[in-house]
Amino acid sequence: MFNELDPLLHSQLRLAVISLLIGLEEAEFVYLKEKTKASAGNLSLQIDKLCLAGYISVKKGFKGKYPVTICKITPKGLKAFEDYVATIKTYIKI
Amino acid sequence: MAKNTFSTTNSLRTIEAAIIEAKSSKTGASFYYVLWGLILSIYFIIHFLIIINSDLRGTIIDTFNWVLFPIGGFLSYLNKSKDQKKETNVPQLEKVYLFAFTGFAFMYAILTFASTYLSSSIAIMLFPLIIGSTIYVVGGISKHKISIFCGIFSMLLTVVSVLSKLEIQFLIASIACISSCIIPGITMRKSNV
Repeated sequence: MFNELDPLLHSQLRLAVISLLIGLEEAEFVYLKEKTKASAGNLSLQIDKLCLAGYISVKKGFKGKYPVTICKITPKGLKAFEDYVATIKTYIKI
Repeated sequence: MAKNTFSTTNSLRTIEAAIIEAKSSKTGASFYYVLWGLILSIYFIIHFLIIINSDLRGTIIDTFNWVLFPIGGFLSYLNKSKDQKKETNVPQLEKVYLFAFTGFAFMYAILTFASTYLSSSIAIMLFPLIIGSTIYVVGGISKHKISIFCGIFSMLLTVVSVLSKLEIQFLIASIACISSCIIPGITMRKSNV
């Protein structure tokens, strides 16, 4: 019997965002947009979903004169990612 | 990237690609390695020269060698400001560097304090050991082999330092700076460290 994959992470863009944040201390919105090649609107929507679920924290501020959005994975997000990877391993029998 | 559901294989591909991408982020540590390696190395060489050549005592080199540190601080500040403008992510290794070198600074400060009370050159004698061990640990975490080897070399220099006179200890400390900071710093430019 297979466990159910976390529906919040089983979306390409949200998974890409979480996977990028796993390897970084924090990342700006611009960086995530560049690496995922997503549109600003879609990325913003997915980031909001991850933030609402408590998987990432979002900090808004300024870099010089320009507004900046900084994303960081939370312990809950890290746990969710680990569980997701563990579940996916059972699917493909690694 | 617009699909909401996708296969487990695609999932793994996405995770792998993202992790590789995130890992390729550079910390910019090589600049600080080379800069502070040069500053400390020159500082120790000056002390070595002052001890072996008494004519240099009281000269501008002897009086103002401390100027190297504010220069290093200013150049570090300029580089940090420049980096902050273009950086869009913070690699995890940055925290490793922060804690490792703060630990190194604490150790050196405490040893300097102990040297004053013990009236010995323990701080300079053990300098290759503490810089070597710091570089060794950071090199191990960042998987930078040259840092690991250079760290071991610096730690081994401590054996020679303990058996040497003060002026030679300054010379060894300078060599430790070259092997622990300058060489890894130059090689880091080509790798993702």
